[in-house]
Amino acid sequence: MSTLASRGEAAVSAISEAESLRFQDFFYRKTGIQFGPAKRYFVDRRLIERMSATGADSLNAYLVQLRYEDAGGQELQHLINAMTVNETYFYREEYQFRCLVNSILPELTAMRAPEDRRPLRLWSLPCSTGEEPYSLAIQLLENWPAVDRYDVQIVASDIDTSVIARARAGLYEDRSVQYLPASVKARYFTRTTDGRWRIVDDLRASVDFGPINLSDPSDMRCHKGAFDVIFCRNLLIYFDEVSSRRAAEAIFDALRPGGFVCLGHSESMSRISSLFTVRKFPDAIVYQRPES
Amino acid sequence: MALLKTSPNGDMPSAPVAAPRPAALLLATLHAGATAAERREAALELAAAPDAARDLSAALGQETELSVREAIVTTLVVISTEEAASGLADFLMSDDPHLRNLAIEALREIGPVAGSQIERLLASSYPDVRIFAVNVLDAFFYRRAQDRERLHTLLQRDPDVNVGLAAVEALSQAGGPEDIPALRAFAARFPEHPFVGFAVDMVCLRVMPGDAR
Repeated sequence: MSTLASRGEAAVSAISEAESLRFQDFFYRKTGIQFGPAKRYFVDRRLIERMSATGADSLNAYLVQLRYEDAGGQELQHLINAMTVNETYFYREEYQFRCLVNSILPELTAMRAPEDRRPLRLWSLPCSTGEEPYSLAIQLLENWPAVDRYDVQIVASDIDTSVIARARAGLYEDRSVQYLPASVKARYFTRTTDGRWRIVDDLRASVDFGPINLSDPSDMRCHKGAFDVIFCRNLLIYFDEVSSRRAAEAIFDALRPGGFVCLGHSESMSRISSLFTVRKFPDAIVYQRPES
Repeated sequence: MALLKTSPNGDMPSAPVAAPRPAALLLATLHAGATAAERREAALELAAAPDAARDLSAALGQETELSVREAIVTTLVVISTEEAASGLADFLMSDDPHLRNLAIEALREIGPVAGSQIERLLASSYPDVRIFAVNVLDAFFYRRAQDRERLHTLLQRDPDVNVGLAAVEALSQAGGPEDIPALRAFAARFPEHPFVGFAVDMVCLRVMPGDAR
């Protein structure tokens, strides 16, 4: 076995064929993704990058880290991100939006007393450059038949104020809108002279952007019991175990009783906290704050 | 559109920064707060008061509301001192499975700081408590030689086969060649249980270096 040593990184041994197969088996069991022999170079190169980044000097050490020092799934997510092509875009993980309009909102509205005129409040956290909250708005307008019967408020937050500024501007490249049907692009975007896509003003005005730090209790205090649904996707994976626990507590407190939180596809609230009830809907598995 | 428009300034509400409440007041609220929300809030705020670990553990034993229990445990994990671990370790002997499971998960997250508590639990006369202790140790034994040694000692001496099998299970995931003598010693002590020999053989095969298989 040769050894690759790069600047400031742990020495990482090159991956033998047997090790590569062992890793691919592990990855398949975790994700269902199979690579096969043709992808050996692709897989090994990214695996070595992750081993270097985590200081693992052998595949065995790296797998031990994944199994025992990664309860929140952070490194597994980094690995998945390295092994797949990830980017933020409109309608990302669309099955959760389908779940929202087909299952979550009908259940929430059915539970409401007729005299309850409070707006339904949805929170995109973190909202990054705005693709998720605008997707929420579009999905409601396009696919939720009851949208005209309820007031809906969409709030979008991120700890990074620079991405919030970009989200407010609502300007996107082709890549971000590539999965949107042409009819949706025609209704909710205009083309700019430099070829980008601008969210129409009406839609931009429908999302309330602002900075927030989920880990800061003083930031979260004014949102207690404020939301019916929180989209908190691919954030907790970046937290350690203690921070994940505290974030789960903060999300619990920000939800109204009976409210829902949607996590990213590789995330599981059950691994973090038993505060929530797991709900299996036809389109997605989500987590619910118990009614009482 | 039924989507509400943002306010003209577009800013989200913000709460004034509140002065930290004294620990004594928070503990009083935790013990006697009228609502679960009040008690949860007090429990979470006590994360800034590491000296409150003992009182938090006492409150955990009294609390029946699951969401408040969860908040207390989160704070004990944040505090993560020997005293916090000690309070949590006591709940491994609880008759309440919810409390037991919360304590096991929390001690796993606290990690090696809980090591001395594990020693105490492994000395329990109740095999179930010793198994729970192994379930905790399972999360971090590979980080420190002394925690690995605790598993070895157990494999060599514990009279209950199920406690040993819990240790075998732990070693099956992150064991190494250095664990093989203790594993073999465990199998030799229980020849009347064929499954023990089988399980040990499987783990030894797994942890053996590649060129020795």
